[in-house]
Amino acid sequence: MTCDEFSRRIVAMMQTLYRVSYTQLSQSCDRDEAVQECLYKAWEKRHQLRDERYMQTWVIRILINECHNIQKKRSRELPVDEMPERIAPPDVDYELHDALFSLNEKLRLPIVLHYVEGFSIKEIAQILRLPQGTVKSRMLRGRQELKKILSREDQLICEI
Amino acid sequence: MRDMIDLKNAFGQADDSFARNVYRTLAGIQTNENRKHVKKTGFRLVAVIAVVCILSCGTVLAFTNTWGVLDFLSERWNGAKVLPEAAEIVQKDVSQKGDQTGFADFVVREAVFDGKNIFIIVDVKPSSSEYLLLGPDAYPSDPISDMGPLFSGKTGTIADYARENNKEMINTSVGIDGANCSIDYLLEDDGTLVYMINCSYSGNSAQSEIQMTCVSAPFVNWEGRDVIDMSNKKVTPLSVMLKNSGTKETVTSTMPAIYNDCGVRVDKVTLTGSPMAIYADIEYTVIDKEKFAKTDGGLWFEFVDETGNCVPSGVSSGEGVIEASEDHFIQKVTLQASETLPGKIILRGYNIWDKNRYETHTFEMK
Repeated sequence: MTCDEFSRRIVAMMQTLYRVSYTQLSQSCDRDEAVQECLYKAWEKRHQLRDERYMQTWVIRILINECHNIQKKRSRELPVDEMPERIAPPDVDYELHDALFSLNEKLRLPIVLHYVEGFSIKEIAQILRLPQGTVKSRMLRGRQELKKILSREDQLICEI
Repeated sequence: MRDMIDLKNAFGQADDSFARNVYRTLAGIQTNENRKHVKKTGFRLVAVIAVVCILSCGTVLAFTNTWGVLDFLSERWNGAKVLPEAAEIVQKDVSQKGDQTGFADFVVREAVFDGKNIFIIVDVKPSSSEYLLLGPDAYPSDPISDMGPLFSGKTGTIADYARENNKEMINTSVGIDGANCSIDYLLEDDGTLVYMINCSYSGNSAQSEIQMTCVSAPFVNWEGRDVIDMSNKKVTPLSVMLKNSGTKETVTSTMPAIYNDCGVRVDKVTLTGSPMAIYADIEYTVIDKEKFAKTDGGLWFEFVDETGNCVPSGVSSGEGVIEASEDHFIQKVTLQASETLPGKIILRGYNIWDKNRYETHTFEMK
């Protein structure tokens, strides 16, 4: 893969990179750091990607690892209670935003990867290195919790 | 009624800052690709900047440009301890080549390179007294009190302050090409923005030339919002020669240890000493995929003392966990500097998600 091709494909993934990093990291500086390190590693290890059709899945897996790395580092730097809250961007549905981000990350991430990014259960299992059954059960719990949170004013349609 | 597809609306669009960061990183990768025939002592050349701190610290600022590497470490970086001899490896006369960006002049005033880590102080002086320099993550809508003690007690935003004082706000950033940097900065009384940059950077040569990228761009008001005028962005490279003071001794563990709870074997622990820190590499292999999967990516090894308390971290947060190959990982962290390296260490497995603590093993080091 040439550098131009790599760049073109990464730029096409811009929104996905943003949303996946946003799902895991509340601070913009942390998201920047995670994405930088992800891109550098993806480019450095591009020869390990056996089939370029799976580049997006592969890059997202690297990004999630980098986000975990930063969470680990931050957990040593600041007590969780002192972590600043996530500031919602101005163009979001605040109700959905708050509901989604009130979920535990373990439940939130599979939901975002499936319903927002369009990854299949199998792909999510590969990305998160979890059995497919675990992914399904987390999505089920996540959807149920979302419904509960939103049910006071609205109801989220979801097929279970 | 809503559908799950509405969840996309829980996210905004990637903001300008995020997109700029991606483009800048890709440009850095491209630069590296173009330069790969040039010997650069093995350094990575990807322009990246990671902002770690904002100007919210209540520390009393110096009123002259005296903030140096050791000042930042002791006053603003959680009081991370270094050895007294660290003062001897701070370079005060740093060889450099660069230009003004148009809005500001970027000068490296101090640097430390110990073969594992770089610490650099950059003075960014505005080219006009009318310019108010902001760091890369500071926005006009942020509270003016975030700018540091010079502004303590003041209310309103940075934009309010700039308008009241007829200042033009200038966004600045500076980073080391090819390195994932942590950045701290503070505004001095004379308008100089002082950056402290730190990154992991391996090299064995006696001296190494690094490339830095300095950026400045004015904020303009567009449809009632202060935005960075990218059409007026000024970028200039800064070439800096660093002397490698080198690390001291290295010790490694003599035996592996199996952490049954989390399904891994710690193969080797390596500690390398320097006046700045002890650099620790923990290499481990997954031996039980099912148990490891249950850690959900949350496995972290912490150094503890004999009473089970965590050993203080060093000046840099390290590189985190690197996936060296399938099922083989290296956790890179730093510990506080010490005159001598320990003859034994105690490592405890820990899960950052559920706070579960795994086994603890002691490693003899030689």
